[in-house]
Amino acid sequence: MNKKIKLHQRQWYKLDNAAKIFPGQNTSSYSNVFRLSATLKEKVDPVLLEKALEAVMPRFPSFDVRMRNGVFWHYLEKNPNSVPPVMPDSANPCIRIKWKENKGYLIRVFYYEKRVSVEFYHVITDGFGASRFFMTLLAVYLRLKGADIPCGGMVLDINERPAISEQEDAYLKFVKSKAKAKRVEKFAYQAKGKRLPKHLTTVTTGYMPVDVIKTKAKEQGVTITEYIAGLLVWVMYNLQKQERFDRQKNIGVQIPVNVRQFFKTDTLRNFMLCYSFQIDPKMGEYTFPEILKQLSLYIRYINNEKTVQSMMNGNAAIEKNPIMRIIPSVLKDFGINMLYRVTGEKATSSLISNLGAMQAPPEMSEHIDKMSLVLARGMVNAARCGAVSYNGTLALSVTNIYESTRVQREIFTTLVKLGIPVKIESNRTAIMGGEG
Amino acid sequence: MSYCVNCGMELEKTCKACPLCDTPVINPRDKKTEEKPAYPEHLSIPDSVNKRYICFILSLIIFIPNIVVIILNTIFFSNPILKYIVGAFAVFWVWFLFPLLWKKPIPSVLVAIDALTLMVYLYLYRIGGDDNGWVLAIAIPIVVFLWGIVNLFLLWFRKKRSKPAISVAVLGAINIMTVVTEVSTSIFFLKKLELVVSFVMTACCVSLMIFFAVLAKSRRMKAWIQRKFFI
Repeated sequence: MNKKIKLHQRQWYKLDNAAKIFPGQNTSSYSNVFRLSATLKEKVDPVLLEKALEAVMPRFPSFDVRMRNGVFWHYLEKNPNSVPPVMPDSANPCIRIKWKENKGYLIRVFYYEKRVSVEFYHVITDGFGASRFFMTLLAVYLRLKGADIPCGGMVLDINERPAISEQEDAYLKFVKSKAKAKRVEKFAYQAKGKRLPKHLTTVTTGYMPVDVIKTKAKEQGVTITEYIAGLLVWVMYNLQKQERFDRQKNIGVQIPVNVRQFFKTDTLRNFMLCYSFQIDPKMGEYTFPEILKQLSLYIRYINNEKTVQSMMNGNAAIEKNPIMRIIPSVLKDFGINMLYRVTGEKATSSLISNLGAMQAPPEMSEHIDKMSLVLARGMVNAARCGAVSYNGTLALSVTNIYESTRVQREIFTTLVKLGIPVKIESNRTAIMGGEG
Repeated sequence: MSYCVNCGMELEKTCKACPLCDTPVINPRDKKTEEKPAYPEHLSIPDSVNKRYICFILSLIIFIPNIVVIILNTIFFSNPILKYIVGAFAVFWVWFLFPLLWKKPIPSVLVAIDALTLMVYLYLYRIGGDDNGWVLAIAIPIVVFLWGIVNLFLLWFRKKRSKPAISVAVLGAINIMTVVTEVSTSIFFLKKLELVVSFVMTACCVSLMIFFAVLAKSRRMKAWIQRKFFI
């Protein structure tokens, strides 16, 4: 039916400021994808899941799109197909995205036993929008299964008309071309090893009680995100010390942050920024509490409306540059790709994206066992971590592109040593062909 | 529920070994579970980019304008330079696009094809009458020598070589190529053997080669250089 929609009637969106770099970063083995998973109490019915998807898609028009190539920029256009296919899950999550696969959709829906997973290409949304879509999809699916689930929390009403404000480009709304923050980051240490074959990554998820980690974080006067980020820095710092004594490189961690806390917007599209924190081991020996203190002070220093605004202005200035605008998109993609390969992940040793608590109506909680957030592999980073808490359990997933498990082992054993009980699951056995 | 005795981690019911340290899980009290593992065994490996398709598209991009220009030239212009331009495109195709047609190209065969193509292209100048003998006297011998040296390198690189050893080999190859080029050009243009650049190059290359050869052998010197010249 949608195929009959005339070109001028098809809804289309320009890519937002954050999304503009993602198509250029795409390679034959890497895309900026993240996955939200929920393990239900019962086995998943793929037919009902597809029906739920059909009901949910019209409520999220900015997700119902396909990528198109413009002369100067890529853009998103209403997808003429009905819904993305619901597919059986595989052992290697978050593989690269191609515009023409998956009926052109930039989200992928999977099921495996009791688990529903949705993978989002970062071009269309960030963690905030993705969590709303995912929880609404789960709620509609559970309703189709017979449960009585009201709207509320992250569950949106599918009978409501999607608001224009939900599809707005919030960067465009809040960016002012005044102060621009300059970022100077040194190349950071990378825990390297033998790479896994193309398209394969190991994902190790550790489940831990939120209240225990919260107490531990409070003891140090930091938030949970800061605690995990500090832990990653501490782990990388120790790994580098084991590897080399001379010319120690900086240890860096990147933390994507939802900036809706400063700028009021309902948008379900991207509206986030990345904070980068580094320590220089050449300055001397660090302890874990010392790293946590520095990290939390740094975050408190930059986590304010003015600094965030200046960071946004800096990012937008590149996009608004007249020379940048007239460069054909093919050349822009090539340039972004080269730049990302050379410098992209090199300024950070690890990344932690904490989605926070997934809020669902109490009626929904009894049907969902656990949730997790998995990030796509990095190009060189050995630990790209996604965290999400649900029902008193925090799930920390570590994605690693190397065969060796020393990074994830160090992360989780450090947590256990700190007194936080961890239960782990991994795809390693399937990835290593039964060896792991 | 089982714990890894090595890491202290609680493990998922279906784990047969700890995913972090591979320590086997042996818990006689654990009942057999019917639960499936956290991830399926199936891997999703997308199709890789078809190199032949890329070759086909790029070939079309190169061939169509060339054919049009050849037709126009035959009918209207008869410009003698055109054959060299078209020849250069053909060489480009053989060098960069032809390897895409092979699944696993054999390096020595590829080098042989590249060298022969280049020689055929250079011979075009002789056929066209636009050379005063430089093709046979200078260009072809240089290409043959280069071909030989690349083949020697390919043979030598079958084993893993150290960085100083590679430096010695590269310097040696540069030196040989400089001498061959100067010998052929001086005989052709000056009608006598007059080697100036070759002597300077040989002096520089040989001294550097000796330095790298010693460096490859002597651990002491390596350690001394690391201490004295670190930046």
